[in-house]
Amino acid sequence: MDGDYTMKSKALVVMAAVAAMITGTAVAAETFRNTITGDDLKVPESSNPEGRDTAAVKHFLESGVNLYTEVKACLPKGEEVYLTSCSGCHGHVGEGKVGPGLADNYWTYPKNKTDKGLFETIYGGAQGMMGPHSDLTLDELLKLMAWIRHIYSGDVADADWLTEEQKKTFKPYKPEEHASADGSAKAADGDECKVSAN
Amino acid sequence: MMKHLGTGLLAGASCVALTVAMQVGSASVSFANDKLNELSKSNENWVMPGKNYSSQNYSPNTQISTENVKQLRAAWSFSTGLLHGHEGTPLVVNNVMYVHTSFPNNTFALDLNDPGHILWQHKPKQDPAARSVACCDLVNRGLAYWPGDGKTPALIIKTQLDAHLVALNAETGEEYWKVENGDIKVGQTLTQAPYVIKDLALVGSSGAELGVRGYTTAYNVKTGEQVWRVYATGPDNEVGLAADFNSANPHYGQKGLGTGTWEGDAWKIGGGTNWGWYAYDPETNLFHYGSGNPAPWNETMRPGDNKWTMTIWGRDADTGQAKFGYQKTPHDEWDYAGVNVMILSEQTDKAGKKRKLLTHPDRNGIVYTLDRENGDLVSANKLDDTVNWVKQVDLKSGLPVRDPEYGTRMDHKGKEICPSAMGYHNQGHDSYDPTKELFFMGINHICMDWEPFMLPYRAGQFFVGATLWMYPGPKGDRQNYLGLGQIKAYNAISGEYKWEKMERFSVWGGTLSTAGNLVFYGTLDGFIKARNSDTGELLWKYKLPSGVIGHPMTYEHKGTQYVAIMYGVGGWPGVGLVFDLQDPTAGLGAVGAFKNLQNYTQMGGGLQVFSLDGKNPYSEDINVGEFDSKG
Repeated sequence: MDGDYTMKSKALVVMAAVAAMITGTAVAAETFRNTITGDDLKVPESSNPEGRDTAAVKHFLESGVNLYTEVKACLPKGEEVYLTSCSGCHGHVGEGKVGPGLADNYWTYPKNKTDKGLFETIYGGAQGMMGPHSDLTLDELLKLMAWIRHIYSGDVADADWLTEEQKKTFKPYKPEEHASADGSAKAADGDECKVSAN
Repeated sequence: MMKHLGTGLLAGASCVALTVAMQVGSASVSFANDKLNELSKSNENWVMPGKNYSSQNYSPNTQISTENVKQLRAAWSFSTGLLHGHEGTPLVVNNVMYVHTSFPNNTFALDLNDPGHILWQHKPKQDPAARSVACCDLVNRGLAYWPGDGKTPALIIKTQLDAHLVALNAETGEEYWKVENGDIKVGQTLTQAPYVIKDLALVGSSGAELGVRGYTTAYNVKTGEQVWRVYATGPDNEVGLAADFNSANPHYGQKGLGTGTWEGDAWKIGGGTNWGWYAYDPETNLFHYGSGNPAPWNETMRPGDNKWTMTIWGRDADTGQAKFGYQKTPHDEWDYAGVNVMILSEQTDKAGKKRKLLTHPDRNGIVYTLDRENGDLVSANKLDDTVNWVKQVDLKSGLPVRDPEYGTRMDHKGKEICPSAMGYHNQGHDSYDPTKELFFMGINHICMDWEPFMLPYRAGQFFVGATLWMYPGPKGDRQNYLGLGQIKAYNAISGEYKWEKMERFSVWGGTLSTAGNLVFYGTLDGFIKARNSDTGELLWKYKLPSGVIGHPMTYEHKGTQYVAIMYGVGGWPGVGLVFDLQDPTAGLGAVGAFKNLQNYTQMGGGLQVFSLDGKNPYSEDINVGEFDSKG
């Protein structure tokens, strides 16, 4: 399935790139749907006007793939967003509180194993107390998703969101080994959060 | 008394809040108030969640009794169309039933002559982001009714989770006014049933789990204008302390403590929200309620008594000013939020003196009875002999005598603490039978381990700082996580329990008692039960579609007595079931305690109504509700 997926998404990228060249704006090739109702979430029109134009957002709208995953320099911003918007319910490191844990390999909504599915659940909300978080910018949401993927502590084999390359190097997250004393991710000096779609 | 005097004055009322407040205090308003009081006396009505201003949940109706309760059958039912927790109970006024729901807080008016017909429905469109800042599921506890005065129509007052208070025309369901009582961005929500006193609509707020500073606000019921607001913490003028505050019991504390018992500005994010029930005495003009837990739960982060969280209040209805305040759990270490029901009674104390009393089964496992005129402690007894954080309450000083073994602190995992953070009693609205002088209380029998952790305050984020493990109390079955509840009959003067019974799960929603010698209640696993209120003998039960976290009510319609109850499992005990949680510490510890609940019930909200032999408008006349081609 993984091989197929990559091929398809590459084809989509090309098509979307052509579309973008024609219209000159970020057009979502993917249709993003509410996790519960299936309604079209109308992304990006319904999103925060800021942060729509980054390379990662454009790529995500076209392909449903998050380029920030495991890009070390992009994690600190993701953790910051996580601590502000998610940790209260889901726990400091995704261990679960009022809300379910996010770091294990059990998913209330199995589609959250894909970047697109996780985005839809966060952006549009889900059942119960999981309200929509569409107030965050698309770029912040992608960085947040990268952080959620980073704190994964389950079996790497189940981490469908990682490429085969990433799976080789990914180490399940251990809070106690987390670099800094205050528990926050730190990028190495001079590192910039930069991704390219190629 | 001076019933009609002030109506003219009100017509020319200015917008100045002070003017409104003064008029509210004067005679004009007692017109509506007397009307509400009168309505509450009829067996045909249930005009507030606790039936009357004394919040007794007691009906003098004798039609359904110990003799015939076995013949109680389903009469009719109504699905609210919503999942999640349905707390509280519907209202009945003048042959119309008003039903509330969990988020998005729809309201339905049903015609009791033809309950298959929805007279009107109000379905607010709320900011769905409110769901993320609710504590523990998306519950709502009910409605308030204001009877109208000839100029302003009768109103249904409701709360929305997104912190709005809304008045609806009781006849049409149209919005009459709508005010913003708080901001969901900082975690302020509303789940409480509002409360009408005279021409004021009172409402508290939720959000202590997110560091919200609690307040109670009164709005002019006709306009939605704010009349007064008083806080649980902070400077005396904001807490609203009358000049003679606690003069009868100065040892409860008087001036400067809303800031002085906190470190720095911690009181600003110190919790103390009230989302429970109110009671009111028209003779003293005092209303009573409890402020909730301090924030965060981690006690190490907030040294001091943390006044006036965890406090039983006696406040003047017209001004909000407090005549007395008694803090039950100074410097809480267990989340024993003090918001539970206040039931008013008139009883003779041990010394033979007739007194106006207030009885309050608290989360902390103590049932308090106070003189509601001045706050004097009359009795304070354990809800169950397994309560262990406190040895006793010293009636002289009012202070709990703690057992340090069950205290909580940083770098320590407290074990076997009883009750758990859910309390031996939570939001259930209990009942009082004045003829028997007995309180019927639904109890949680749950204990816990508790381990605090430090966390920073972030606006709109959970601000708890503790990990909890919950399990049945010593009388339950810890192997199988069953035996999590009790039902008890209590005499507040003698301190004796006339009877008590164990239940498989919590009796979360409270009780109804009637002059038919009966006490009714619902269980978390979805039964409504009737017991003999003298002996506790189980006489009747019925399996509902889903678990119960609300309380039953009763009304008479066309000569037939009905018993009604809302079902729809959820709330704090149901969060595991509702949110697909797995880890036993999830749901603030609820998932572990109630891990077997899913084997007994599932989600689904609605209302079930019973009568003897199931008699109902359709059984009496089969043509009621039929299509009539002649119109």
